[in-house]
Amino acid sequence: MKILIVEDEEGLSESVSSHLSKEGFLCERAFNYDEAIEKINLYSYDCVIVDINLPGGLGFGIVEELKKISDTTGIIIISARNSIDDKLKGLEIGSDDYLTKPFHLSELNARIKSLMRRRQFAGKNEIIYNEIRILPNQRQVLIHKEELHLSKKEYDLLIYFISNKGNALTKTSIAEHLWGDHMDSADSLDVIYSQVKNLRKKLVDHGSVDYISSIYGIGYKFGEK
Amino acid sequence: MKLLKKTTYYYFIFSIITFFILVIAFYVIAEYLIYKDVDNRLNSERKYFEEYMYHNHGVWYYGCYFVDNKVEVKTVPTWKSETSFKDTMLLDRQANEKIPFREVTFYMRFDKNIFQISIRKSLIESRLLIEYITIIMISLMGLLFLIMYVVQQRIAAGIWKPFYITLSALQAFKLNNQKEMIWKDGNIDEFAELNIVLDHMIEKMRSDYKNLKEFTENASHELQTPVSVIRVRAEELIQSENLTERQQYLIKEIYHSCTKMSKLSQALLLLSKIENRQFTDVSRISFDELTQKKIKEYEELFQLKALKVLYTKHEDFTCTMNTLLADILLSNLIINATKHNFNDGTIAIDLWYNQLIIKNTGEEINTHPDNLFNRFSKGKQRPDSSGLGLAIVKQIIETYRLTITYSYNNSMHTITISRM
Repeated sequence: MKILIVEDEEGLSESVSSHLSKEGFLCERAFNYDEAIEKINLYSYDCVIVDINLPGGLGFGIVEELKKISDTTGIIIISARNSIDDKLKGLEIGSDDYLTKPFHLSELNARIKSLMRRRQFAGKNEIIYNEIRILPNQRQVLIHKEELHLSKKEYDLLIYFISNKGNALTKTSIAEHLWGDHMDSADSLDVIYSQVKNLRKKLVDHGSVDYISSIYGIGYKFGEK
Repeated sequence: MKLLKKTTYYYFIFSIITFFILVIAFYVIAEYLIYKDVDNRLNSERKYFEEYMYHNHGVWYYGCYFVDNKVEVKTVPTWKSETSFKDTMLLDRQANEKIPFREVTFYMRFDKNIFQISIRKSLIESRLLIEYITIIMISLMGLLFLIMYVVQQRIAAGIWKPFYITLSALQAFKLNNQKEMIWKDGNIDEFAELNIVLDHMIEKMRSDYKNLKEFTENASHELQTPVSVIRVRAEELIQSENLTERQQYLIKEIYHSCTKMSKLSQALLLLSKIENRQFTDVSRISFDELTQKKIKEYEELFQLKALKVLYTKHEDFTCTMNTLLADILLSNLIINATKHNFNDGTIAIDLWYNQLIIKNTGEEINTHPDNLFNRFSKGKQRPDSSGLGLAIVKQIIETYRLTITYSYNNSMHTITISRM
């Protein structure tokens, strides 16, 4: 799967690129407006990540150009401008998602995967991880074909874990994923601990392998040990 | 004390003192003049009397004078050369009461007889005269002072009017409101000057304030990118295998500080954006719907502390405001009520047509209630919190012309938001 990262901040762009490469995406980078326009006209991408403030123009222009060229490319806007207007404008002209800087790589990764699922398996997508099978459209989780009832937060948490399997997830990123930006990280640590504990217990009780391990002081990791 | 009251007060004291001094002085002078006149007349009567006595060789008949007490002649053993004037009270048979008299006493010698003679004049008319004059004087002077008082009040009110207009304009002044100040100069130089000085000051204040705001906004904005990079790099490091415990600890610290910093600058940015009224799109927000949504959203948070959440909707509280800000407002209040709560405590949310009341159990705070909504005011137990949550709440409240009050009693914190 090919992804274009349009971001002028070298360090950020490099980090995003290397993280997504590890997830198996093929990443290309553009550092300014003209370069990005040139690239999207030359190649086709499954997903484009666009910053709004770029040297040479606003990211909105790239989104509009992309919409003219190909309708199947997923577009995620990343911006330091956390304004509702920008967000609405971005979604209006055809972007699929909007992330505010600073974002967590794991969050970006989860958003890209969710976007790709929606794009590619329109209607009958499913997430399978060994014995765990998730049907996002029905919000259903099956373990060994047996249904597992999860609360909304537990369900979101499981999807987030599987999207970032094999990677360490920080508690902050989990808190922001589940509750949004308003929660002070200091308050969320305990509640995340209890959410993870509940999810883990439900999974194991239903015969799943215990995939969740905790990383001291940082967060959790989902994957085979 | 008000300026006009103060001047009136001084005027009043001054007039009363002057009034009494004048009345007393007038009375004394009038009395002196009248006595002088009476004494003169007594002297001239004495001359007539003496003339008469010499003419009649010392023979006196009371019958000549039918007025009581007019002249009294007594034979005394010793002769004195002195003449004395004095006031005395004598019985008037007509009125059957004692009335004041002025009397002159002198001595005369005829052959071997020595007479002490007193000639008197009733003072009753003169007294009445003094009384009438004094009453007229008091009323005229009183009237004068009253007229002066009214005139002075009018003049003072007129003169100070531009001052009061300036004062009320200053009271309504808000730093973040770009409205021009409206002065009324009148024709008094000092006030015109005052207004010019104030105009300069306000202009300076506004430009300083604007610069400061722009600086805050730019600083928090520009900080986001490097902070993003640091955090993303730290996240990458977290993913690496085979870290020593020390390395893991260091990375964790970098990551947390960085997250905190980013949250802080985001919160500051949000604050300045609200202040600058950059959230322009508004819609009708039903706080009933929003509260239900939020209670559901933070369910796990309540469960963790085993909090009892009591939501009572008496009437819906609706407000035209920005969706995101309404969301932040309620989120911050609910999280705040959760954060500063006991285990097994309660949160009670009451919704009225004009009010939104959030109560929660919790320990008494040691900050002054007035400082509660200030930036970076945080409880001692919470060194990790940004201290901006309630400042953001207050800024939103102010933007939408709502009011917020805080109180603490019966170990319940109560925050009330009401329409103005």
